[in-house]
Amino acid sequence: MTAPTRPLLQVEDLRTWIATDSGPVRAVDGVSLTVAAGEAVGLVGESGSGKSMLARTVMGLLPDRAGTSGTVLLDGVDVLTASTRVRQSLLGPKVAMVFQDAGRALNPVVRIGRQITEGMVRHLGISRAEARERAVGLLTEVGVPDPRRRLANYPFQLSGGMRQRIMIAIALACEPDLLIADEPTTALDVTVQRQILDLLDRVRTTRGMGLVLISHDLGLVAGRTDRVAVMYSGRMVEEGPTDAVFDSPRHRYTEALLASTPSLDAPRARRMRVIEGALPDPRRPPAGCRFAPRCAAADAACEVPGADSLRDGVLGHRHACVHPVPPGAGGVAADRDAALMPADETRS
Amino acid sequence: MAGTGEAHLLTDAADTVLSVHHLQVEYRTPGGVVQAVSDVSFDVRPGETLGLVGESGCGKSTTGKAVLRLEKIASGRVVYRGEDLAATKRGPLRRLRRKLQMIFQDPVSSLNPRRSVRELVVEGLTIAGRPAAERREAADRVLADVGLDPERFGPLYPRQLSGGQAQRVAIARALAIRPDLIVCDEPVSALDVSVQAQIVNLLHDLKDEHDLTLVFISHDLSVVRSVCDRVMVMYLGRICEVGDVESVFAAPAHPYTRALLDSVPRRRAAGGFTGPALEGDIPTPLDPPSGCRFRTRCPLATDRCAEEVPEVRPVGDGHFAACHYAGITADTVRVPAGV
Repeated sequence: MTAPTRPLLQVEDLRTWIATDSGPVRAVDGVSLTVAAGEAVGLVGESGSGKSMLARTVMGLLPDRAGTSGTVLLDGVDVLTASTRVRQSLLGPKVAMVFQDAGRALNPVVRIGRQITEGMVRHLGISRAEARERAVGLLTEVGVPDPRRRLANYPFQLSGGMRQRIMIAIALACEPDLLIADEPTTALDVTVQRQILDLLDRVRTTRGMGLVLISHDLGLVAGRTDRVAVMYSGRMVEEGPTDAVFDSPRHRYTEALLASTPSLDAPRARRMRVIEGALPDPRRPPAGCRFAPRCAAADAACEVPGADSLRDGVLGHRHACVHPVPPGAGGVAADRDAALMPADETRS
Repeated sequence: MAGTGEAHLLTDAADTVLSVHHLQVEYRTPGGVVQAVSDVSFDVRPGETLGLVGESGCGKSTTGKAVLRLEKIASGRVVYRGEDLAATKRGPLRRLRRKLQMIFQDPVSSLNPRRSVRELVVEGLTIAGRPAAERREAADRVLADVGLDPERFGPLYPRQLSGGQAQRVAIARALAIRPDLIVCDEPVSALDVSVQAQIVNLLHDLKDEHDLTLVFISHDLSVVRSVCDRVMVMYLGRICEVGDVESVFAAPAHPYTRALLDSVPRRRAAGGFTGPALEGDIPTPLDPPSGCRFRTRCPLATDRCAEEVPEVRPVGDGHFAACHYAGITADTVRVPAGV
């Protein structure tokens, strides 16, 4: 790994909880993650895994009922303890976020032009006229046809794909070092999703921007990130170079998740592999490994508190499993042949 | 895509459970009349799972609903085991509908929040006026069928269920009246991967146990590939391609099918995808393109595609496509990836 002296984002032992009537929900429970400048990191997990709450904590977008502990260093500044002013000065130039539902994330009664220029005027200290010119450039960059005319549009006048392009333009406006994209294409059709993913790849490479790509879709993260972190029930269960994690998952949950995801490349099987049971109650998670109640390989050792701490492995491939899958045994079968071919070289 | 025609239908209607001919469904909107489904024909064979795939606005859900006459059929015939549902009067239709059931995408909101699971699953029998003892017995039976303990889940209300459990209840509810054909509209799209696999397996098992025929509507090509026997691809209200899942996925004949498959993120492909991206957005259904409706985004389109609506024609064994240039690989004409 090309680790520079100071990572762009450094999350250490982060805990985020949300108060409810029946006790705090431990949404993120002791997670550490670093993103280097220019690096693309995937964050995957099913609903309730805590991946979105992790992103929201970084962005300072938690509800009032939430509490946090640990550190989130953004270019060396701890955003959890920084003053509102300092934090706001980071949002935009340092880090920006793209949300799943652009239709709801955009202000419905404000023209596109103002939504894009607002942040630039505030953070970059440029004039409205100059910001407008830059907005035209941004819309061209994200592939919005006829950009000058679009500035006068309201969000409802645009398609879902166009709205997501606008969101990306807004996020890019202050030239952030890190872009957090939370399920950026989940609400879009597959051919449009494709266009947006290509766009994210392109702007990331041309700008040398760091990217955290959050998704429940393993296939989507696999093709376009350098490293991937897998979360389950608020804990990080595995983390490492994307190809290593997908070719040879070590944690039993990662292996099961990969095996139960239908893919166009795997042999066609009528019965899908399932993960029995359901997520644990986030207010009363089991001691030790949280996946143990659903895991065929679990035994008493998995229930010992602290059993699910991350263990170091080769090339920074870490996992939190007491009984890990033997190396090389868990990859998707069809991919084993494909792995012989020199793929992925062309990836940015 | 602009496909019409019936070349892909079985000649003997007795071999089909459901046979749809020239189905047309229209919506009135402030901007004019939208043809959500335009001259679509297909048949569903006994015991098979037919997948309907396509992106939003392609008419797959509308087609599914029209089959049960949950949408008004503007014209065309929907023949279920010899009876034309489009021409059936309300009384007989109610009787026939017991043989045809539907499962929806959002399991929690498709269930009445004020009814317990035990009441919900036998609502169909209640409407049919079956005695309480039979309903109780049926509730126990179907809940067990879908893997929910009747004692534990019977008294619960929809809001107390997880997405996967609610979808199981919706399936149990469809099963209770012993249907013949179930239309599943995106049944696993709202579910997490691990739960999705449970529901897919459940549908597969129930299909065998209860001799069911399924129409499986989904935008997820990977799921369709593992669930379905045959697949029909739609675009903007018309058919693009129909055929066995294996041949359609291995050798897509229609440029739209190819583009759809190329748009699925793949682990091993360079850049994550196996082919170039489609340009542009789906055109407005208020004013669909003339001729082939896909031509505005098609890498192969010529003048002919604007003038002539392509007919469905055979391109292989049990494999049909509605494209003037079906089977011509895009590689021969392919423009450099416009990424």
